Amino acid sequence: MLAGLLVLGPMPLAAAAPAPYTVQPGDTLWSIARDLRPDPSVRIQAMAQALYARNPDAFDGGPEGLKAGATLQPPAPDELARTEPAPIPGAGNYYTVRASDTLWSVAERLRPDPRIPTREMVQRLFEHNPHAFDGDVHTLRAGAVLQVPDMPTAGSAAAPVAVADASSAPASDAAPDTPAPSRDTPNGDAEDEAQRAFVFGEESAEDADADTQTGAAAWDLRVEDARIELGVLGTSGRPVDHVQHGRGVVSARRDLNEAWELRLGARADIQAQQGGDYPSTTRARADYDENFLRYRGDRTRVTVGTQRILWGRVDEIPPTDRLSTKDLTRFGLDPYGERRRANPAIRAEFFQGPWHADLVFLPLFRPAELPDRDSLWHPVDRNRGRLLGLPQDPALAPVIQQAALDDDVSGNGGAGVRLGRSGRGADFAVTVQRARHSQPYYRFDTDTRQAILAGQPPGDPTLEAVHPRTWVVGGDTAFATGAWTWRAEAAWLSDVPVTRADDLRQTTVEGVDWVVGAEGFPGDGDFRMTTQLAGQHLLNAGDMLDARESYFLTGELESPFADYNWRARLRYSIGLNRRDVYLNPELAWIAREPMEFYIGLHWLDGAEGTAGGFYRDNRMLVTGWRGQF
Amino acid sequence: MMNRTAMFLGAGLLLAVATLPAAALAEESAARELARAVHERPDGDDAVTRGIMTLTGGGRRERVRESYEYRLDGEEPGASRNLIRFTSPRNIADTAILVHNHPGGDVDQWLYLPAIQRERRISSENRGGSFVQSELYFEDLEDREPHKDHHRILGEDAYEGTPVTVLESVPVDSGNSVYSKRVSWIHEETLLPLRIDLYEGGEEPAKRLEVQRIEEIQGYWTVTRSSMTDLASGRTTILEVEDVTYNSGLPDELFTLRGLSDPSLARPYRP
Repeated sequence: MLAGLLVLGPMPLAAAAPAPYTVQPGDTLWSIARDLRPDPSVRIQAMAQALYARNPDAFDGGPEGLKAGATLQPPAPDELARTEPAPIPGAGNYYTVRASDTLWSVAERLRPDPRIPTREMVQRLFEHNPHAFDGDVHTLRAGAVLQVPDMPTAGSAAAPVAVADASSAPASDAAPDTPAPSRDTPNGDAEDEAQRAFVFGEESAEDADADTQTGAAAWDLRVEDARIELGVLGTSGRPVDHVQHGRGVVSARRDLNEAWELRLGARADIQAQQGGDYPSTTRARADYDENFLRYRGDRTRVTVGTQRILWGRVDEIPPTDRLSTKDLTRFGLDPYGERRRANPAIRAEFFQGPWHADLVFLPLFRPAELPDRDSLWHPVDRNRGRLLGLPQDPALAPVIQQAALDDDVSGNGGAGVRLGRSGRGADFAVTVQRARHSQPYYRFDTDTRQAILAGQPPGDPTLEAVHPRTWVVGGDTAFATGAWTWRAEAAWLSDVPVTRADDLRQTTVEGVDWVVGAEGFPGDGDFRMTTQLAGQHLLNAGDMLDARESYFLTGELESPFADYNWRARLRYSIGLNRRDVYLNPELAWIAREPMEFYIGLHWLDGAEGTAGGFYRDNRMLVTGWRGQF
Repeated sequence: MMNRTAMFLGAGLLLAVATLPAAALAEESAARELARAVHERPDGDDAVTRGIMTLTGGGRRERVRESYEYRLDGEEPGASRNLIRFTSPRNIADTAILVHNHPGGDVDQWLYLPAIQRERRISSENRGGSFVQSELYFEDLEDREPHKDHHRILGEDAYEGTPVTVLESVPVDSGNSVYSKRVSWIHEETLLPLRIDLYEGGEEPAKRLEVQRIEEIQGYWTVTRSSMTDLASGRTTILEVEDVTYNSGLPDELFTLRGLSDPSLARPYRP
């Protein structure tokens, strides 16, 4: 293409027979036609057709088959059809006067070259556009259309508007493939050319390049999550009448230099409940969030500090997410990401092409975060004498009511490795972990258990929370077929805590968890849905109090409506082999970003021994506000 | 891919030769050539763009989204990678989308959701979904190859006083587009469409893209202000380019899942 320009450049635009042109590799008929046409009044399309008609031998089959190396004889200029009427000198160089304009401001904006004094531009605009003035130069009429006159010092007649920033205009030879309009002005000095622009229609005043870019702030401060929620419980057996919840998560991030990053984060939570037959409680608690020092190398990343590391790929219940710390303060009311707390970790990651190796060590074990002892969401319900995950037993109820809780969380939290690949067609990962269950499993201590088995009231009933270590071997994958994205994930666990039916002794058995799901946009619009089928199995389990198999259907339906001012969403989890239902419809007003107001329902129901059954009286209507700043 | 395209074009041409008079053939060729020229318009090997998207009109509350878009063209024709990261408002800040366009038309697409710190593969075939609640569909972000449409030149026209060529493009396979027809007002000088009417089945266009400003930046013609209007509701998305840098030598690593999940990686390349 450059060659074309060179051929054309020195050529006088007279009616002399144009020089033949040799097709270069990379040329298209279009690019040649654009470069060879004698002047801009000849449409490129007309030139292309004329070239094709005149040089049939240069083409293989049709206009697409332009042969490299062929010689094109351009048509004589007078053979070419020209656009009518006479070409407008510089497309788009008209300006419609706005009410807020002054002649000076217009002149300043329209002068094609910043070296032209605005005063001179004012004069020329006035002389060129008598129709736009009521008598004298001070009476520019709003709505009038100004024609921008050609300026002798402007680089190009085709440049309708020059942006007043000549310093940023690169030399035109820096752009090899560009249709350099300087070809229209053989005398034009390309290097002095101002940056060119076309403006179509009115340009609004606020476009006047207000550079809002803030300087590189040292600290990036954010409110990651702020919320207030009020809830009302409705069932006759409700434990409390009202609940309130507030949360604030703040972070500060800063790059120390090219390789090092520091991040600090903290959170505060407040939870309260009143009325009903459970004690009224209010608990405010501060906690650390992510606080880490991170090193970034070419192919490595090392992060040391408190972090949230969420392995796995499926939604809500990823089987290979075993190194994170669960947040059980609100059961499952919050979406997945919010149900995890940061824990102390050392993480090393290696990147090579599509591969990603992730090594994590948890030097200190952090168990799941639990709500207040009397909260309606605590897994040990001492008010009614029930234990989450086990069927209600009138014989055990008084013991659970009086039991003290003992949680031993000393030691490290385990370690794991995850090797993933993300590339064309599919993503997958495999993982091996030696992890600890962050969610507590409650067992009776030996004395209590023996007293119960002997049929005597235990003296000092105690429930011990255990967090058994387990091997985790698992994998996950994702791929898209048509409009649907499929995700699957499974893990084998060497040790899942269970309670034996005969002697109430706690032990562990092997287990397998799996999830298969799909995500799509039925209707090819904004309505999004995810559906997952999940299974949890205990292997080789004898007579246990725990459920040996559970199957669930979980997912989410979501759609904005009313001009994106509102969003409707339903999260659900439905037990398939046992009744265990959680439904969370929510209506949110999302017009006022970055916050939203919402109203929702948490509806739970289920058979004995299921989570839905355990929390069935906690059904509540909630309304709240949340945002990020 | 090239072979397949060539075969496709060859077959199309044979059919045309058999059925159309010579004048019609020339016209169709010119239209296809124009579409190809627009598609192959020089736009650098890579680009970083800071953009502001304003969602307005139709009585809704105005919303503003700020983002960086990184583009890297691949070695093979049809191969390219795009990374779009939002920086504002806060509820979508750091959210990013990574697109790998492969020669031949298959596309890998991932979304990064900061709340769960995860890269999520998503299907690229949700063409009709709104892109961050704007009037842009996901399809509007696609780099649609010209061989996917039949093209026809409807004539010459003027757009805001500028002569343009009007090109009609109708999908060869109606299943691969939300649009039944696109009519483009093409500015031949810059090979940029200055207006595109987008039809979704009806006689009247459903949406309209209009260009208000183009600038030559580093020698490349760049649309720096445009708007997409939903003609039925009057809702408009205004797209403004605040900064753009071409040919800064973006590394492949930016366009991996690591680059998707880690905003710091691309930060040094911001204009």
